[in-house]
Amino acid sequence: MPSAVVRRAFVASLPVLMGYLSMGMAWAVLFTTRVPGATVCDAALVSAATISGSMQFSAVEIIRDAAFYSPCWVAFLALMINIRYAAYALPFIGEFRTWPAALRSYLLFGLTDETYAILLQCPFTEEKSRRRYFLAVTAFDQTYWVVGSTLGALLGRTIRFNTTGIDFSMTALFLVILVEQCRDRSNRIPAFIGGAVTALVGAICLVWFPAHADKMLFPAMACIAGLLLALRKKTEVRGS
Amino acid sequence: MTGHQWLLLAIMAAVVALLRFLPFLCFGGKRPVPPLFLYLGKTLSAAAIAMLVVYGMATVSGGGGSPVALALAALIVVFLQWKIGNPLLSIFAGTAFYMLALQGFLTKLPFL
Repeated sequence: MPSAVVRRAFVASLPVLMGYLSMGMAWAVLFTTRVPGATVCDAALVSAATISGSMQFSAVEIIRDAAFYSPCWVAFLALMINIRYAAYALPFIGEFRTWPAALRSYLLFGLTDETYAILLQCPFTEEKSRRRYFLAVTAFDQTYWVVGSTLGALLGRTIRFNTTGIDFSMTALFLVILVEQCRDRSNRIPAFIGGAVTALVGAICLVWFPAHADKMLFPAMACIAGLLLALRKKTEVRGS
Repeated sequence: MTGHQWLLLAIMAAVVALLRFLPFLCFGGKRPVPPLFLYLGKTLSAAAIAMLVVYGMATVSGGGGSPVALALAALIVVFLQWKIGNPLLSIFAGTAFYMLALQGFLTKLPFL
């Protein structure tokens, strides 16, 4: 019989069970049908090692046309696509310091958007329960993602299915995360800045550097970070 | 799959892991997290997601679909997520609509 902590963790992870099974399947169908020679094992391995929808959906077209991508460029793209992960461990640093290094490393490794959101809502205050809860949620979520990917890869290779337009699911995932973040009012101005600056930089790239329009993420990110820093100074001066 | 493809996949997994470890690598010791980093951590993650939405919409529309269908699909996702809050439903409904529109199943609708 699993402990009460593990049961609470399982119930909290149920929405992720639905989300990850379907997203994992959608990704694996895409991966195995778009990348020639990709097997069920390949899909499961990539999912177990990465556990990131935004990264893995972006990876499909990169891996399909791998010959056109250098390792440096891919590292840079991965950095830009996933920069938000760098913020997720911040709320947990304090308590993670005293936890065993192996546990801490696994929790950081498995810190997805959804796992982060669930861990923030942990109902326990006692350290031993919190450790168990964190470990259970992270392990459940990773399992759902890998099982979904395996199922999708199996189905993708047996069922012939027109996937034209399925790449929208990645944008839909970003939209869902954006909506969830915008429920917190303090995120709305940064989100607006991010969207508006990207549209502006994208338009400029398209007009003056059409050959490099696909590389607009770095200048966009730099402008966004600069603008956010400038705005912080302003609000601080106003506040004091 | 080729060795180069596996190399790229390994790089992507390593970058994701590195980003998730980054705050702990920087501030895991006794040092407190500087307020500037806390501020950037919070605001940049929201801004980066909005950036990815705009970039994703631009990339998807490059695939040749109708901009109206794309805008409607995005509206479906945002509306369902805001009202119901089930990511599975929002993503599935929006993607299904866009795929049906793109594959010519919705040509009876006058606006597509």
